[in-house]
Amino acid sequence: MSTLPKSYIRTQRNRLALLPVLAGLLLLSASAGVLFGSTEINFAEAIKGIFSGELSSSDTRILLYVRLPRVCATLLSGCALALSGVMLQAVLNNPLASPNVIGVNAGAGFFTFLVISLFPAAVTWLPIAAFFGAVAACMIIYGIASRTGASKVTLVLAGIAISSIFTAGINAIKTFFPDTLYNGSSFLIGGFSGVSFKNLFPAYLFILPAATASFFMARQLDVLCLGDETASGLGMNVTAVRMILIILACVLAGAAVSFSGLVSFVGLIVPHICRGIIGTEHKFLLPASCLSGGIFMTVCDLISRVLFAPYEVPVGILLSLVGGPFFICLLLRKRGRRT
Amino acid sequence: MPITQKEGEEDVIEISDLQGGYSDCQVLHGISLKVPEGCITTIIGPNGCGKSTLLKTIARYLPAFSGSICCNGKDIAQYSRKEFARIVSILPQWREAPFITVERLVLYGRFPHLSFARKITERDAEICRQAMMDTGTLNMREKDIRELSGGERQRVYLAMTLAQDSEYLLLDEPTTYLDIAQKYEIMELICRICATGKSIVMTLHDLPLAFAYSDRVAVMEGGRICCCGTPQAVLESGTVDRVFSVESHCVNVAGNMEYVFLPAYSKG
Repeated sequence: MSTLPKSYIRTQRNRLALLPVLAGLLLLSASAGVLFGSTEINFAEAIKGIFSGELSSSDTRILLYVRLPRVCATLLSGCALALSGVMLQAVLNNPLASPNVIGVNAGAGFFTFLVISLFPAAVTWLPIAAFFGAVAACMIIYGIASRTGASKVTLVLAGIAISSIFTAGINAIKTFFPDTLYNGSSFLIGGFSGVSFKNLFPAYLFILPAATASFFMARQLDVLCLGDETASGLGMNVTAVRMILIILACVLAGAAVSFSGLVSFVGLIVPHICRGIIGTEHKFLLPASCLSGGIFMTVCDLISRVLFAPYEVPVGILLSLVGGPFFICLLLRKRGRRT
Repeated sequence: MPITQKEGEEDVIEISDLQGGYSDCQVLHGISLKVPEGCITTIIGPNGCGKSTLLKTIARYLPAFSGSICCNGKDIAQYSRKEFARIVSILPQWREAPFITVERLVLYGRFPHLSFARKITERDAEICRQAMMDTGTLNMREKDIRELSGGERQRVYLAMTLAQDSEYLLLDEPTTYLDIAQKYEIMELICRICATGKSIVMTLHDLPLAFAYSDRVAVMEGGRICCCGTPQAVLESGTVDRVFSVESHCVNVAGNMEYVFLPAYSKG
């Protein structure tokens, strides 16, 4: 007779069943992202064009150089930011932590700005610059956390301070080198217009391995959430695990920021929503957040493209407009349940 | 230091001349202590004397500056983290209350036993079930940790520590925040756990509880151990009276000897 209790097995199965559903939704949203856009294209013609090697028709070009890279970018950054959020929330033991709240996004953005204004040709190096920016912000946060005893409020406050410092840096660069970034303000809001495979490729090199590695940290993340002392008592090297997780989260957030700009909120809300649906077990939470992040970003980007076509609302605005109220609802519901 | 050894007991944790604390302040100033096998050893002392620091240092959560802690004849620094977690488990005083079910939490106790694949086996589940039975938490296994009362939560965390299946249990203030009935319940539970052959080292605030339930009591003051022995011997030495500024009395209540501690100034 199995001693694993039925309830345990049942919930495990239910949760496992949710992942293929999410994967299906991801495919659906990705194909919608490719099919629809500000201009209507003849999809059959476009595909025919690709297969025949005839790339001159505008339909084919839109599909190949606009839609596809764009959907790849939204999927990639959505997945990366959500994963990064899950890990940062566990590492800092704070449900409010996320790449943009604790300043990691701003750090990555600042370094990206710095590099792009000093070396405009160094597109390939942008993810690396963003990564170092993210690491810099994270190290400052981590330093403050370990010095002050990592109170949840202190961390968020410190994050706000760091965020504003880096944002000030970005604005300074914008003021002193006004010509360097033609889309400087869209970088600050976050968006995917003008993304190409060329500036996506290096980010892929960073995000794919980091995302894969993060899935292997699921059990460690679970144990880390029990608190440092308990985790250490269970035989975990807390400092080392924390370092690894911070680095992974920085790579993910940094690489995403390097091509999508300072997209906010995804890293905060998506993990929260997923936690509410699938529970706190990271074995499920990580893949679920990753998939949902991709879905959320792709759908928001699609809406931003078609809503006022041919004009485009920067996706960052949409994310905040959708994400903000949604998050408030979530908080209100949670509070209602507890009291 | 009067140490009275019971017949046939072996010292299994030996601490000698331990200096330790936090990076910016030393708390332990030369601790020497022997913990006998299969007993409840309780460390008492006024606030800030370093009891919790001592426990955390034994658990390897804090580093020892100098001196040694030996467990089963081997310095604890020589164990790998996992090996050590299979021998010694700790129940910290401050813990996160995550949003998970009781069962899930107890299963985490198996963490140091899991192989690289980290898959929970039938054996792990059986050990967890036993731990929940022993602590009377089996019936609440599908409940959320946050829904539980303080006493229930403490029992659940004890179950997790038991699921770790270690020879030694270090308990940091297991009765904090509990009401009096829950306190006795937890102490009885700890005694039952000890009777299954585990050795227990704990810190306690509550003097009557410490003296009623311990086989060994160690009194700490200012980062040093100033007295250690059976409860009777420690009381007779008068150290408790001095360190805590109390007067201890042994009172016969309905045939049981109960310890009572009164403020030293009570007689004027």
